[in-house]
Amino acid sequence: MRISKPIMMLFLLPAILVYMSIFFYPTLRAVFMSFYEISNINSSISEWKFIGLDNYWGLFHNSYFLNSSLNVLKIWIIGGLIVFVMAFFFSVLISSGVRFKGFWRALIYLPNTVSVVVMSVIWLQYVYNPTFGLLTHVFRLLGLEQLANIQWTDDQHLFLSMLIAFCFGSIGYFLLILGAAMDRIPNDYYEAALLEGANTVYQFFHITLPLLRDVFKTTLVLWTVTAINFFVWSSIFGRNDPHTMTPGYYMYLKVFGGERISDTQAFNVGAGAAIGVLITVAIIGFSFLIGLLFRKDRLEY
Amino acid sequence: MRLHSITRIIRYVPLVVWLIFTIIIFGYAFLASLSTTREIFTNKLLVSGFHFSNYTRLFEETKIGLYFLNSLVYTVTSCVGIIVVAAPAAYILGRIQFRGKRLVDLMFISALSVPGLLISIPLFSLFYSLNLTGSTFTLIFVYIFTNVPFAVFLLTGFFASIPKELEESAAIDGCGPIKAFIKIILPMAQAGILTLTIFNVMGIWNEYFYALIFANNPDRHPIALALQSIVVGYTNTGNYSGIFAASLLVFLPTFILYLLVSRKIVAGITIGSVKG
Repeated sequence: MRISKPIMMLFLLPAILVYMSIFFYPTLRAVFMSFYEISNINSSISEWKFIGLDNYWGLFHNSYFLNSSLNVLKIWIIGGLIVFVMAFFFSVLISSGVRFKGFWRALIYLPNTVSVVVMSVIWLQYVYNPTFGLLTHVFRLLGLEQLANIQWTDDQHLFLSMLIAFCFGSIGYFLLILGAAMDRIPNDYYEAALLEGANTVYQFFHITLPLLRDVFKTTLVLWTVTAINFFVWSSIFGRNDPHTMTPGYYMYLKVFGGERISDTQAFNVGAGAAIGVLITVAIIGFSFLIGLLFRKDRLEY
Repeated sequence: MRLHSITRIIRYVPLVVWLIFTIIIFGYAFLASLSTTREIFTNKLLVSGFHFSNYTRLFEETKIGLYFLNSLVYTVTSCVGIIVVAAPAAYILGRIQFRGKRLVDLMFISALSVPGLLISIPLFSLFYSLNLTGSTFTLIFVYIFTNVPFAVFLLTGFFASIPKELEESAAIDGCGPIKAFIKIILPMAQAGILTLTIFNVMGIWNEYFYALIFANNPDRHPIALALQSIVVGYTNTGNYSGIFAASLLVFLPTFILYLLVSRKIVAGITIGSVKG
């Protein structure tokens, strides 16, 4: 059926307008704002003061911001290791022919469907609780007094505790993507490998991993974006604690202000916009780098 | 793969450990929500029976009923709005070749990598100058708008897989393109629309970031955001059973939905990732 131009426009226009108003325009305006000093988010343009690259310059010399970037790097590396090792481990386990495959996958994905606030309550108020918490309880039962006495939510452990809780919820999403990709690998490969006497570990590194290259690339980009955008857990689990600060959350404090801001500098919406721009540049840059590292795979199956 | 019977059983150990951990943490929250705070601290959950009063007190002491209703309105309206905006565009992109199609495709895909953090600042000042901050519509707009690119991306694939002959026979029967789209094409794409909507329901019900920024009138807070203030308030007054009861109220709706449709979610992520 031929669809006339006006009808086509009628169908496409709403979505294009949405794109223009919520992505195109705000992105340009945020870049523009990052060159100004803006004391309040509600100030009109006439009150803005052009300061060139000073916002960026200030951020690179701000220990608070640098520290928050370091936290993102830790999330990316430590969290990434936990999430990918666990997701690969469980994907292999579940695709190795256990019963109730769908159930196990749905189970591990479950935390993804739960509000971060609820997950934080469960981890903070129960699992990590020093008086009646699960960890204290289990370690005490096992007679590991030293481990039982760890204060999981004190300054020293808060970041790690948050990372573990966050990773617990993230594994399921990556498990589903990796698991679906593993299901598409033809069984013949494994049978042939078995005939040649290759064990399970050898099969994983020489058949599964190479064939999952493209999917691994996709998931790595996803993980990088997640780490750079890290915000909600810092806000809820960390409750403004500087130990769990990330650039995203720092930006929020700079622009909208939280309950408390430990940084003595005043609000500067321009600096917040500059953080937003840096986050976007980082996402695009790292996605590009990962794309370069994993050139399109020519293996077809 | 053939394995020895011991290895066969050992494979279940990590899975069962995960299952037990999940049951313990969510089960504990459920039982704690029906116990007194004293019982929680002395590790004797439920010894004095079920305290459903934890829930009724919640409704008396906080406006949790209102927040629940707010979330319901945000979720339902946004989910419908997303389909209304995204489905027609996805239909054109999925079935018709035209000049500039690549550009439009690219546009929606690039929007997927723009972080919410970046756009929130200009959007907030835009809404402020339009006098829209604090209204219910603001957050609904934000939810619809931010979800459209992914919806277009996902639905395009579904529309592309519907056989072309359908519209031709509709045209012969004298159906105009708009009528054909609503009466014939949309029902054919039902599976895709349903999967997408399940994702959107879960996402919007639990959404926190945009709510934190754009719902600055406390009476307009969705429940996931309001829960955080309730938790902070109850932590200060030491009402731990109230904390768990409030959390359960947020948890249960999406959990029940998940029990019913987990199969669709698992399949949906597979489709999205294969295309992406």
